[in-house]
Amino acid sequence: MAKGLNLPKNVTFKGPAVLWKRMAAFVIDLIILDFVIGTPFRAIINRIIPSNDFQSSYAFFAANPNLTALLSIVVAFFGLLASLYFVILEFSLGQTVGKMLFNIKVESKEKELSFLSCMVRNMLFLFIFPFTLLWILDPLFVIFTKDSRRLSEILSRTRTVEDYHY
Amino acid sequence: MAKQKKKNNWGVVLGVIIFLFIMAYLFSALLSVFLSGDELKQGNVAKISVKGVIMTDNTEDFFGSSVADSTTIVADIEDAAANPMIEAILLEINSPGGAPVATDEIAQALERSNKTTVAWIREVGTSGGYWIASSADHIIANRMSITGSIGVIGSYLDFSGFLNDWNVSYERLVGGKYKDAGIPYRQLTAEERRLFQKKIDLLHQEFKDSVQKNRRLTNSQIENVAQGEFYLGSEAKNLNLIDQLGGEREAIEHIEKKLNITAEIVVYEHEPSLLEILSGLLNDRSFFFGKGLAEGMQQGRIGWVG
Repeated sequence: MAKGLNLPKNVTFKGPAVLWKRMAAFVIDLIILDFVIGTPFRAIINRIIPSNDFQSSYAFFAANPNLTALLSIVVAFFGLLASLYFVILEFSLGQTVGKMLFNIKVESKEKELSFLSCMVRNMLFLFIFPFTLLWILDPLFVIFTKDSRRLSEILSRTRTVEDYHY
Repeated sequence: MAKQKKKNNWGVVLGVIIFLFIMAYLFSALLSVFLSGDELKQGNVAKISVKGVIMTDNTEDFFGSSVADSTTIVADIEDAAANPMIEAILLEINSPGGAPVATDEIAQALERSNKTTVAWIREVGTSGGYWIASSADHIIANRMSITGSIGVIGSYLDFSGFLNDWNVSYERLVGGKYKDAGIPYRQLTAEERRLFQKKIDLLHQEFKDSVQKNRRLTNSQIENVAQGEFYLGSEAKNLNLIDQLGGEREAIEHIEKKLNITAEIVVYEHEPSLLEILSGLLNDRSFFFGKGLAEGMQQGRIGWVG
């Protein structure tokens, strides 16, 4: 008889969040961003980009080079607002809306999650070179690193975690 | 405690979302205010206007009449010609004519464009206005439109008698005997008259040659119509000066039928943006008001196609 072993009834520890939860949370955040930020921009974007196929749009921009600069400004501002969504919510709450729904959160390898680390881990939303390279590098690091961390997470010394109970 | 914390969290989320929405809305509103609309042209038929007296720059004439500025119009035609989305150019003409160089610039730009061109004459398309229209592939006018007036005018007011009556004399100091030919303070000499008439005849011949070539008229046909007479649209149709009676709807139908497309009109107009309006307060238009009668009347108008 195992009397007096005093084993804990419940154990909870933090571990890396599973990939599917992270991806699903990201999709939900993108949907929110599309609605919140995309809606005001939609009228302008529809006026700038012809609603035709890629070939026609390319020809249109080739004939209107000044519109390329305008579109770049719009996209850059959109990216800035998108990164603010992630930075502010992760810094203040450790979670975005998508992460809340899947009970995953961001934590720092240091003691506290700093604003700078939140900015670094969300640089990929700045649609300006060289940050756009992160759209390729981040997923590659997720696939090929042991703990499935994005390059941005490695650089910011953060990780996305969830609680495991048993 | 946990419930309160959760409530606070959602409060933060809502605050961030509202903040981002407002920022996005303000940015797109600001962009709309500062865009002049020139940048956002879409469609496959470019509609370009030639309204008012045709001149090479956009300074309003003394009476504040609108001016068809050839620099801008040529830029629009070339812009439309270079745009692969544009398949046809519809030129809306409401002009009594104007300066010969400005007129020729527009006519040549239209001829150079590699698109189907249709000239739509509204109330008036005479003289230089008709010269431009004749450069298009197809001309449409209302049966009551006023067109034609294929001629050149160089008339001016001779104030020499008026000055004599008031005992004002004209002191002639020139280098080159023709330097002050056409000055309103003395009468033309016979030799000067012949000189001016020769220049006007040359301009007139240029005008006739262009219309004859564009409209494929015979020598007798062009001589018949190029006496400076204006014609109503119905008369112009019989004289082969225009192709069709009608208006904008007929012009668009012609384009759609010829190119087998559904026309989507994009208007090439120049609404000033907020920045242009603000800077316009500082440009020389503000000072024209104070220039005075004499300077305005001294803008010479020898050899006007209109």
